[in-house]
Formats: sequence, structure tokens, C-alpha cells
Amino acid sequence: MVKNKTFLRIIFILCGVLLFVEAIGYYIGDHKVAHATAIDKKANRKRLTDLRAENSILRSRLRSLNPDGIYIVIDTARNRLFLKYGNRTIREAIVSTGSGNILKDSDGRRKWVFDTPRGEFTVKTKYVSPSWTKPDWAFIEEDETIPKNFKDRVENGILGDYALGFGNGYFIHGTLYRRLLGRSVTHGCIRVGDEDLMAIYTAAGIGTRIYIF
Amino acid sequence: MWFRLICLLIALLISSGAECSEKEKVKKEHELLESELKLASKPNIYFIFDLENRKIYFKSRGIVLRELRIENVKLWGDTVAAKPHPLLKKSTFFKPRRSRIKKGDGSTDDEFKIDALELEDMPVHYTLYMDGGISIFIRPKSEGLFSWVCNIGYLIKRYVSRPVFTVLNTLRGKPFSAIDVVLDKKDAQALYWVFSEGSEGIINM
Repeated sequence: MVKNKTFLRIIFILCGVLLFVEAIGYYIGDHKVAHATAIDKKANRKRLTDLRAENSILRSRLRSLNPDGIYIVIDTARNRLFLKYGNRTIREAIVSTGSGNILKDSDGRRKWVFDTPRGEFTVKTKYVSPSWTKPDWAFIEEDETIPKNFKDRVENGILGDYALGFGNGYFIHGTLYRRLLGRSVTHGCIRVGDEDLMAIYTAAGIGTRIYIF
Repeated sequence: MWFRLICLLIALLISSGAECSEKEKVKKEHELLESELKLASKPNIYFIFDLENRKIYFKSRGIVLRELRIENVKLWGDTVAAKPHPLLKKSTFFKPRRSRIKKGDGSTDDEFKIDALELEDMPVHYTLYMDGGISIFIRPKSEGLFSWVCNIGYLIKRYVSRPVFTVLNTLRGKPFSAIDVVLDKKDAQALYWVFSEGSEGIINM
């Protein structure tokens, strides 16, 4: 009976302490947001007119980083490609991007992750009726022997009518699997339908910026 | 005479107050622009959590690549400076898993089975831990039983564990900021998809 009473007292005190901590924590958490301002001290000392002038310079510096002319935006989450000029969308296309799957060779020494790379890129190469030089992973995936002869790697008619390379073996190209457009099924390249591909190929030159996210 | 003097004083006070708030606004914009310029000078995708205007922007080189609408936002703890904060970790109960390709799985075109990591596989309830003691808790609008259960978890987090962490971090002198963001389900999945560890973001409160 006595032990029970002591136990209850301890529980009661612990609950009281917890409630006290909770109340203080809640007060601090809620109070800080309502009352604090986090402005840089350096900016605090500057005059309003100087700050305004600096802001306008910063804005123009930011604008100068924007792409000139036509650029390509690829949304890998929705499998969409946008051909843009300034804020205007000239063309929207349904595409296929990287599957995100993993492939390992039999020794386990080499590993490939089939993601479409993200960030800023530029069109580096342009090809009409491109041939595909199959990399090692294409043979490993099919459980075939990797050929020693270069000619045995070359395959025609797989990449569609045009291809635009943006580095590290990644291309925007055509596809035989049109019904898979809109799905994430590729090994990292961006597959586009025939008509859209022709429009992109015509509009984009070498150096055209590509933004992939 | 007295009336005119009082009127003049009031006018002076009002104008100085307006200038102060204007200066705060310009200073904030200055800090935001400076931070964005730092991020835009790199060839990466960066994020702006504009909580004031309830928008999330995916940007690169100063251009908006995609814009998400924030349905609701709640702030907790220290105010966050409008500086670039790298994403340290994405935390969720069920992490999307990548499939491993089986070699020689020679499926023909007709029987093609898609086994890929897609937007639908992304979680809708997750926390983004950013540098500077910032945690952004993302959740969708409440719909269905699972969402209801998750919201109970959220309430426990908000009213039980978070105050304790606030006290502990205050005692240690460490910053602690929590931001609760409600997004549309698809937008929450898109943010998880795009915002990868190491990417940087600016939070405008």
C-alpha cells in the first residue's frame, strides 16, 4: 500500500515535470516565430536608397544568368519535356526518362543506376538517323557476352530519326516503344515521340541549354 | 498651436514607421536576392520555399522550372535566415526502393512489364532535414483513414515531442526550426522526387 502511494507520487511528479517542460517548450517554440527577425546585420547598416539600388543590380545579375533564346526543360517526375523561350512554352511533349533501376555485372564489380541526370546541361552533339553504340550494360542486361569487335556493338534504327547528345552518353532521341511514352522506362536517356523529336531537333542548336529536374 | 504640433508629431511617427517597415521589406529582399544569386551561379537545381506567398519553386539559373502551391503552413521555433541551406536527409517510414534488373529477362514487347521507380512510388508524408537545425514536415491534405492515422502522429509530434526538443535545443544553444507544410498529394510526391540530399534551398518566412 505504502509502495503504491510512493509510486503514484513519483508518477504524479514526473507528469508535472513533463507538463512544465511541455509548456515552456510550447511557449518558446511559438513565441520565437512570432517575434524574431533574421535579417543580415550588414544589410541593417545600409541606407534604404543604397539597398534599393543594390537590389536592382542583384536582380539584373540574376537575369543575366537566364538562358538566351530557346531552352529545354525536362520534368522527370511527370515525364514531360518543355521547349521554352523566356517564360513562354513553345511545345510540350510526353517523354520517357530513366527507370531508376539497378544493374550489377556477375562479378559485382560494376554497377549501373539508370537515372536521368539532373541539373543544367547543353546540347553538345546533333545526329540525323543515329546509330546506337551499345555499351557494356546493354549486353550484361541481356545476359550476352560483351563483344570485342566495335562493329558488333553498333545497332541501327533504335534511336529514331534524330538524337541530341548532352554529355556522358546521354541523348534526347526517338523510340520504337511509343506506348511507353509518359513512363519511366529508359536507361537514363530521354525518349521522345517522332513529331516532337523533329520539332526539338529543328529548334535546338548546339549550345542550347537543357534543364533536367 | 498645440493641435498642429500634435498633428505634426503623429505624421512624423507614421512616416518613420512606414519607412521602417519598408526598409525591413527591402532588407529581406536584399538577403533573398544575394542568396539566390549564390545558388543560381552554379549549374544545379535549387529550391525556394516562399512561405510568405505559399509557394515552392524549383529553379535553376534564376528561372522557375516548376511552381507548387502550399495549401497550409505552420512555423515553429527559430526564424530561419534567407540563406542557402543544403538538404541533409529525407526521412520517411516507407522509403521507395529501386528494383534490381534480372539479367537476361528477355521479355518481348507485348509482355513488357514496367518495373521502375515512378512518381506514384514516392511518399507523401516525410520530413526534410536541412542544415541549421531546420526540419520541414511535408504532409498531404487529410483524406482517408491512413491520412487520419498519420495526422494523429503529426499532432503527437507537434504538441508532445516538439516542445521537449525545443527546450533541449534552447538549453544547448542550438537553433531549432520546424515548418509544417501541407501540399497536394502529387506535389508532395514531386517534391520528394526532385529534392535530393545535397541540393540547396532558401526559405523565405
